[in-house]
Order: sequence, then C-alpha cells, then structure tokens
Amino acid sequence: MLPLRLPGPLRLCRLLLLAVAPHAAAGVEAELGEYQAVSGISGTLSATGSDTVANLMTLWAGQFRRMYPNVNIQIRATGSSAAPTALIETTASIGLMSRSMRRNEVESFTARYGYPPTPLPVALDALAILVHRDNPLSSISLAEIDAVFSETLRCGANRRLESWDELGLPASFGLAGREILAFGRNSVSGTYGFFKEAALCRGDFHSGVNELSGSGALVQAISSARNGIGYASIAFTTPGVRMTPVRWRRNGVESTAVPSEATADDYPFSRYLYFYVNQPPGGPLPPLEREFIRMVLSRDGQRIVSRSGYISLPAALAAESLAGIANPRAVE
Amino acid sequence: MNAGVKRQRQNEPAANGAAGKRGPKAKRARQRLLRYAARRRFWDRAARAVVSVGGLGIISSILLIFFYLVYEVLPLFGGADAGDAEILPRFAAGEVVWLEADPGAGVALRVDEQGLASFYDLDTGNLLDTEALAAPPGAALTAMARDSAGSGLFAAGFNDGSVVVAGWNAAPEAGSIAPRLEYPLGPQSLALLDGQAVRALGLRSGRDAISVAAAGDDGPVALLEQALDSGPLGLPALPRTGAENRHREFFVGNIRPEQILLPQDPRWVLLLTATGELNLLGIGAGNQAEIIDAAPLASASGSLSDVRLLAGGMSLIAADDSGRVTQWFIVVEDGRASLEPVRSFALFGNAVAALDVERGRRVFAAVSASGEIALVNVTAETMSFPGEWDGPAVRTVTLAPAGDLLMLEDAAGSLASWRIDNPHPEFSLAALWRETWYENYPEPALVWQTAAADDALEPKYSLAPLTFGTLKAALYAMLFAAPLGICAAVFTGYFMPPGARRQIKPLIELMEALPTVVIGFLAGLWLAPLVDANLMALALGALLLPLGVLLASLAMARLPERLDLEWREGWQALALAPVLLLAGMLAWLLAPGVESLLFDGSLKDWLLQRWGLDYVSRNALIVGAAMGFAVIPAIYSIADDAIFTVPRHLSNGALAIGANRWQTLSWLILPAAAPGILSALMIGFGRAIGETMIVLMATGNTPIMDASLFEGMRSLAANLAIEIPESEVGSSHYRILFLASLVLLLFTFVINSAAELVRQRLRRKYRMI
Repeated sequence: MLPLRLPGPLRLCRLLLLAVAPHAAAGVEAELGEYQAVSGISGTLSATGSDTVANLMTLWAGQFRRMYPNVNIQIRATGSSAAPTALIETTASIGLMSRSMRRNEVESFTARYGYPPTPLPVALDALAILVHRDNPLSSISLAEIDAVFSETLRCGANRRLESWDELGLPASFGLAGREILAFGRNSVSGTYGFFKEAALCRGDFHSGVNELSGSGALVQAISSARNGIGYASIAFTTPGVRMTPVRWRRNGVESTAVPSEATADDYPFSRYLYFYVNQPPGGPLPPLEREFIRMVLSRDGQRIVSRSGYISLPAALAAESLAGIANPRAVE
Repeated sequence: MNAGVKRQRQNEPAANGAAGKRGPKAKRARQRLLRYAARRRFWDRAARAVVSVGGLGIISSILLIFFYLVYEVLPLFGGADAGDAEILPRFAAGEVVWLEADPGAGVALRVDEQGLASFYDLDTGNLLDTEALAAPPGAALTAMARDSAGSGLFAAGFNDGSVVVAGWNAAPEAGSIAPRLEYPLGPQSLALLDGQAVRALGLRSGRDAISVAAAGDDGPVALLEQALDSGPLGLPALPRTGAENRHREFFVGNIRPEQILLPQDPRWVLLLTATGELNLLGIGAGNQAEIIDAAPLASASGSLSDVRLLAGGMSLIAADDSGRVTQWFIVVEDGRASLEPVRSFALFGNAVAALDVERGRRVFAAVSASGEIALVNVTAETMSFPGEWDGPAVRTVTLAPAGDLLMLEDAAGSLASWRIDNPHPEFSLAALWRETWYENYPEPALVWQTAAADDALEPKYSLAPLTFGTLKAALYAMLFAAPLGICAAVFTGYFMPPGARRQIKPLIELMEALPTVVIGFLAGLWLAPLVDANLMALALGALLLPLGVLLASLAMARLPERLDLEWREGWQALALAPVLLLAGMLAWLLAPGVESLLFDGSLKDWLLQRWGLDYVSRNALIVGAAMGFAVIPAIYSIADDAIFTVPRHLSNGALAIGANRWQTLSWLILPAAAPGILSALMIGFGRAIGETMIVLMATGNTPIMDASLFEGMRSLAANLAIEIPESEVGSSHYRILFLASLVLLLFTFVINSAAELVRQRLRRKYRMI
C-alpha cells in the first residue's frame, strides 16, 4: 500500500498488520457496504481543522485519489477551532472537528447562511490518560484526573493533586515528592476542549499544565519525562507511554477501563470525530464532497479508521449519516 | 533616463553658442563635461527619489501597521449601546410570571400565572399564538425556574407537587414562524412532591441528564435526575454514562427554601430562604447531604429583591433594595467549601426592581425602581447605563440569550424593548492587569485562559502572565547570549588576526540562517530531555569549564617564553579546546558521584526540598539556551563590527606606552565600542522579545508567573501564534489578541528608543575617539 521501502523487520510487521487487521475489525465493518466509484468526479476538495482527524483525512485522501486521480485534496491541520471559521469563510468545504461545534460557532455559521452546518460523525476516538512507560500507576479516578489537571476542581475532588505520592505511587519509583508534570494540548485543539468538558467538568486547566501543539509532541514529551502525565487520542500512543486505566462509576457500578475498540462506549473519554459540511436544508452536497463522504463511511473508509488506531463507526450510525447525505430530507 | 537625455539636448545650442569662440577641442571637452554634469544631476535626483520613497514607505508601513492594530483594538473601548425603546402595545391580561425574547427569530414568549404561554412578534407586537403549558388537570402554576446551564429550558411547578420541564422553539419550520413549546422529558408531568404545592424549584440540564429540585411548605427537598436518551446533535450519547433516573429526598431541618438554585456541579444545591439566607447543601457520593455553609445574601439594612445564577451556572448574583448587586460563589479551599461574596456593584441610588442574565457571557441587566437600566459584566467589572425607562414601575426584565435585546414589562402591562449593542463587555483595561477572582478559583489570580469546551466559559484575559513570560524568556536568553556574544566579538574583533576573523565571522553569522522553528524543535524534543537526564553534569560543567579555562591560562602564563612564541597570534584559543573537552568529560564522569555525595542522589529532589524549586523539563533554561543560540549571531555580528572598527592606531598607541592588552581592551576598546555593543545587545533583546517559534516549541506555554529558571512560561508572541487561528474575527478574544500584539510592539519600540538614546549619549561621551 505504501510506496515505501521499509527495513526488513518493519516490513514484516506491516505485512502482519495488513494480514491481521481486516479480520480483527471485520465485525464492525462487514455490515457496511463497499464503496462503488462513480464517474465524473473531479476538482479540489479542501478540509481544515483538527489534527486528530487530519491524520485520518490524509489516509482517506490517499484512498480517494487512487479512485479519482483528477481530484486534488488539500488538508490543513491547525486545530478544531479553525474549522468553523474556515467553513464560514468558505476556505474549506469540509470542517474537521474532534469535538462538536459550540453554540456560538453554530450561531455565527447560521447568521451567515441561515441554516446550521451539518455534522457527520466519521469515526470514534477515545482519549487515553498517558504516563511514562515505567510509571507503575495502576489506575486513576475521574476526580483524581480533575485534581491533577484543573484549577477549579469541579469533578468532586477537594484539593489539587500536585505530587506523585498523593496519587499513591510507591516511593520506589523515585518520584517521591516530585511534582506531577501535566501535559495537554493547546487551546485551538478540539482535544483540549473535549478534555475540558469531559474530564474537568467544564472547569479550567491549571496554569501549570504544559500546552503542546500536537498530540505527537505530547506523547514524545511524556515518554521522556518520568514524572509526566497527559492525554491524547489512542491513535497517538507509542511504546514510550502507558495508558492508565480510568476508574469511574457507570450505571452506579465502579468500573475500570482503558480505551480500546471494545470499550468505545464504556469509557468516559470516548468521543466522535466529525466532518462538518455546509449543506443547505433539502439541498444536495456538491458531488465531490458527497462521494468523498460516501467513501469515508464505506467499508474501505472505516477499515482505514480501525487500521490507524481509531475506532470505526457503528454500522447503523454510518448508514444514518449516509442516508442524510444521499437524501437530505431523511435526516429531519 | 529619457528625460535626462532630452534636457541634455536642449542644453546643447546654448553651450555651442558660448563655446563657439574657443577651439573645437575645448568645445568638445566642455560639451562632455556638461553632459556628464547633467547625467550626474539626473542620477542624483533619481537616487534621492528612490531612497526617499523607500524610507517614507517604511515609515508609513510601520505607521500603517500601528494604526491598523489600534483600529482593531479601539472597538474594545466602546461601552454598551441601546437603541431607542420600542413600546409594544399592551399584550394581554394576567400577571406575567415569565418573559423571554428571541431576537433571532423575532419572537417573545410570555407566560402568565394561569400557565398560558403567549408568543408575540417582536417587531409588530402581534400575538402569534397561544399555548397552555402541559399542566396536570386542575393544577395551578405555583413556581417557575430556569435552567442553570442556559439551555433555554425552564421548569414549571404546580400546586399538586408535580413539575413539567419545557422549552420553546421559535425556529421557522417549513418557511413560516411557528413558535411552540417543547418538552424534552415528554409532556407528562413529573411527580416530585407528594401532594404538596411546589414552593421552590430549581433546574439543571447536563450532557446526559436533566435534574429538577423542588421543595414544598415543609418536608424534604426532592431531587429528580432524569437521563436523556441521546446526547447533543441527536447522536447516541457517547460515552454512555448510564445516568439513571433517580429520585432522592434530602431533609434540611427547619430551612424553608423560597428559591432553589442548582449550580452546574452535582455536588451542590443552593437553598434561599425568605429571610435572604443562602444555604449550601452538599450532596456526598453516598447520597448523604448536609448543610455545609450558610450566608445572609442581603446586607444588614436592606432586603433582597432578586437572585439569579449567572451564565455557566456556577455563581449567583443577588440584588437588594439599596441598589447593590453582589456576586457570590462556592469556593473550595483545603477541602472545605464555603460561600464567598466576591464582588459587589453599587448600581443605583434606589432599589433594584428586576434582574436578568445573559446565557453565554457573565453579563446581567438590572433595572432600578426609578427605571434606570444597567448592564454589567461581573468578571471585568464593566458597568454601563445604556438607557432609562420612564414609564410605570418595572415588574420584570429579560435579556435575550445573546444579550442583543432587552425587554421589560411594567406594572401597567406594557412592554418596552431595546436593541442592545454590547460587543465587548468582557474587556476592561484594568482587568487585563489586576488580579481577578474567577469562578471556582480559591483566590484572585492572574490567569490567561480563553478557550473552552462550551460557551459558558468565563474567559480569563490577563496579559500579566504573558508579559511576564515574554520578559522572562528574553532575559534568560540574554543571560545566555550576551556574555557569549560579546566575548566572541571581543575575541574576533580585537585579538584575532583579521585573516582568521574573515573566516570565523561568517561561520558564526551562519547560525542566524538556521530557522528558529528548527532550533525550537531541537530544543523541545532533543535538548529538553537531555538536560532533564543530565542536569547534574550540566551544572558541574557550568562550574568546571570556566575553572578549567582559568587554570589553563594560569598554566600558559607560567610556560617558558620560548614555547609561548610558538603560537601564532590569535590562535591561542585552540589550545583551550583540549582543556574544555577535558573539563566537560570530567563533569560528565563526576556527575553521578557528586550527585549522590552532595545531593542525596538527586539534584532535582534536593532543589525541591532545599529551595522549593521544582524542575519542569521544558523550562526557562532550555528556552534561554535555544533562544540565546538564535540571538548570539545578531549580538555578535554588530558587536564585532563595533570593536573591529575602533582604529588600530589607538590600541597600538596604548600598547606602545606600556598598557597590556587587557588594559587596552577594558579602558580603550570597550568604551569606544560601547555604543555599538549596546545597540547589539538591544537588537538582540528586541529579537528575543519578538521570537515566537522557539518559545512556542521549547516551552510548555504555561501562563504562569514564576521567575524560576526551572519553570516554563508563555510569551505574548507564542500566545498570538497559538490563539489567532482559533479566534473568531471581531470577537473580544480576537481584539484582545490585537491588543497583546500592540503591547509587544510597544515593548520593542520602548526598548529600541531607550537603546538609541543611551547609544547617542555614549557616542557623545566618547566623541574624541
């Protein structure tokens, strides 16, 4: 698939992955239809927004270009907050977002066009709480996460947690008394906004949380800081970091989970990744965008999702979104 | 060119006439001279024009940038503006209990005490539709409450103890305006109190559940939590938290709540009694509840006139009959929650008659008994009085969700509305710099945090930490770059033979060609972890390297003179290379031993315990080194030129009368070159202040105010780079970012002007040279 010459062991790994992945994920994707290419599609498709989604977008674009060589796809990965602005100013026809639009973003779109933008979930994602790979922290509760990252303590904790012994880490790890070094994303990122809502109960980050401009940089920073903790999409995890299981109450029962495909709806920080498009009510999408979204929501498109570490969309949801694109009236 | 040629030809006949009497040779020479003079004149003028156009262009473009920044910032300083009052005809009979307006759809909703909802056209005042609230048969409306999350939902309580949760939708459907009531939990009423009339009511909507609290004349406070099937956008809720439908009852002793407020934190319920006492009911994880704190909202003299939760549902405002509005919120400090009065606004000379809040921003509108209208943003403490109502006493007032319309109903039942233009209430110059007490913060603080997950964020615009971070980064960079840059300049400019200098100088200047993004990247991803792992070796190196150099010079001075002559002048420094290498190796090798011997095995722990300094891996040390690296070429290059251009005969003279080279350097060369060195430093400092990518990538961009070498910072420039792409054009955030860039410009302007002044003074002082 990739026109890359990889060193021997890596190539083997890739072959193995290619061999295993389709079967592993077949459960979800098998229910989706294959994408059938249509004729007469050309032009330029531009997408702006979340770097988390842009990751996937690059792969989808590659797949799409193979079917339609005349199509040119431009991707700008600045952060989710750039997507609404780009959609309004028509500098992009697809807004990539890793959170849903805020009310005022929808309002400013509506003020311009008279109708709200259309959200289309294209994949599932989950934020993992990451620590250094040697860190023996067995699990962390929602209130503890809030107490580590926030200033406002809105999720139940009574005081901030500042050092690792307060999190119950054994002194043998050698971090006794050391301050917890918290890493996060910068504010343009949808991951930042989602974490604020889901993990800080809409509170504020503590001003000592390091803000990094990309999930990759964040994972890299944690893998080189033994006292580090942070959050990133599961697709960005590397062997240098470890996902900490999260303790939370679900249906009144204590449960502990790490994000994975199986726990997509049983994990507190799972979320949708969205495309936002400008579709007038009752009106059709331009053919290029429509075909691209059909490809993304097809078996091929969702296979790319699970292969790159995200979680593919439940078939029913994908079908519903597809119906909305094909026949806009059906959504309402 | 053509013009010049033409003029030259015109000049020719006159020249011919004058030169005619002399010989043809002289005539030709004169003609040549004239032609030459004309060409010279032309080029002189052309050059002057080009240069002045260039110069004026630069000055005007700088002014243009400056004025553009000012132009973008100016709207921040305009206060709230209200249009003329539009008086709508008397609506309907019945006492008003609920009034809301949606200027986007042009519809107003009014609910009377019978539970009849009437929809009106905001422009014409025409009655569009009426609809009765879905009440249980025979029940009378006894209480209403609005959603603390600002979703626009409201709850209505009835005398049989049941409650209905409703909202209204005025969005056009199928092209026509059809305002209607909607019931997110279904139109059937929820039984909260057992047969007792609902006296006090509270409502809160969350991501996956709606909570309603109700209390009757006596008995417990009932709290009902109703799970929602789908999350936002109608998608299946993710994650499925499995919020349950729960009905809980809390006994609160002899407290008889008159009003219940449900803040956006499930741990708290606020109960307000008839005497104006606010009780904080804390609900524990195990459903046990207790009154944690109580505070009288009204001042000793006055009585309360109205209490509301502000947007975001975390703080409340209480208005009393002395014209004062006070903000309160719950502060958790050291594990103990308490109700704190945070700030107070003395708005009117008489009582506050009515109060309402915006749904997104922390803005409330208050109307006094004499009809004055005030719009206040509590965070920035901006107050404006955009209008006045001179009709009968005001009974109720409502602010549209976005704060763009204010509507009131007076005692005679007539309605007046104002279009409000209040784009930037969250800004005040004072709030940018002073400590502000934000919701849920344990104490007033200087905070910069502008983005949130939802609209109900209380934006925190304090430029103080950013300004501090900018100066901190620049100062640490200068601490690193100034000694190195100047020493290097002294060495190449004074000691090194010009031949060697010609080769070394471009090499150092080449450092400037390295993109700062590359430096930042290396600093963040390579240097930071490296320094983190080898802090002791680095500290030891900082000690051993200078020591090694000193020892080496001492040794060289003691060497027999015969050996000393072997060195070619200016290349002595090469002899230091092995010394430096050795010192570095020594530091590396000794580090573990020294660390375990002197610092109990960990320098970082020792720093923390002994000095309270915590080591953050992306810190000022890294930025200082990385940015210092980027600034060194600028400092070096100018300082080297300044030192090199000090006339050689001066130093030769000094050496000839017996001064040694050190004396010549410090008493002659350096003072003479001081203006140049100073401008080198200032240019370096200016560059460090404006540097973006290195700070952005090498630090954690933490907006903290901590001067420690081992803590990070967030600079103005990095902040602009991070936040400009996300800010909505024309919003307060956008304009405050422009203000930040203006501050940055002002910084460099002041620094450069000061540098120029000092430089000129120095130049006057050493003019004799």
